[in-house]
Amino acid sequence: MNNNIIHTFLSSFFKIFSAIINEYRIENKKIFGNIRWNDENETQNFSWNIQFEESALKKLTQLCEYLRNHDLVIGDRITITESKLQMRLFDLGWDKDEAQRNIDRLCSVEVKMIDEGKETDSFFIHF
Amino acid sequence: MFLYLNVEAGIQYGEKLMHVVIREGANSALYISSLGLFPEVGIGPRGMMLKFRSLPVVSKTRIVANDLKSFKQLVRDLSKPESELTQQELKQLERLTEKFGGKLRYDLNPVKGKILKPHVQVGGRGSSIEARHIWLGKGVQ
Repeated sequence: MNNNIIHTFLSSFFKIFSAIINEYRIENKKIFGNIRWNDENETQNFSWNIQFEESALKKLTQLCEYLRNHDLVIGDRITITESKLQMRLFDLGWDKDEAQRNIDRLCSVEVKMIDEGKETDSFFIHF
Repeated sequence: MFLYLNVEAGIQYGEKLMHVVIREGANSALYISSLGLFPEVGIGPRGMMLKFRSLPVVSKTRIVANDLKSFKQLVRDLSKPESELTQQELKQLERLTEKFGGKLRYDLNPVKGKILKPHVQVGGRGSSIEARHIWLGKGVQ
């Protein structure tokens, strides 16, 4: 798998949380890294089991960018209903099944926060 | 009956660290002080020092922060999976968050996502703690 595609997806995912990837490494379908925040002098280690193929990651990147560009996430919550988001993606040219599949995928993403070497909280998005 | 009260000011925010000492009988006395300050003696009639039976009443909370840095650390600590807030702790956290210029955002009923457990997040005090989930115990709202 192309590491750039993984990195691009996670970058768009973390932008929703106003964070930027500092560094990362990929080992055995798992990515480890560190992010920093746009508005603070804070960093956070993370890990994520890479659960999708390249084509899915590309679609998820688009979905994250759409959510962010339209301010549709507050904290970790998507502020419109699932059916409304599906309609919006349909208007963008996604077919209904594709929209639903990728909403489901995004809602299954859990990027673990690592504090002092231990998995603690996580980054995820929900309705 | 002799009554002597001494509740020391300056107790950490949200904490009730009090020590109640009672002696029963003709010269009953009640002594309340911060914990550790003359824990077992009080002044009785004619200035006599009395030794009392100790009944510690200690109600300690973990929702404590003295500055923004310790508040952020508190939020990180509370976001650990095993940490669940009680109703009282949630109220304390709400007050503490407002004290530091933030606001709690409630997600009591997440309907679709990887984790559907009720939680709150701290808004307005930086993105790093806004991303943290503070889990609520059963029935807390």
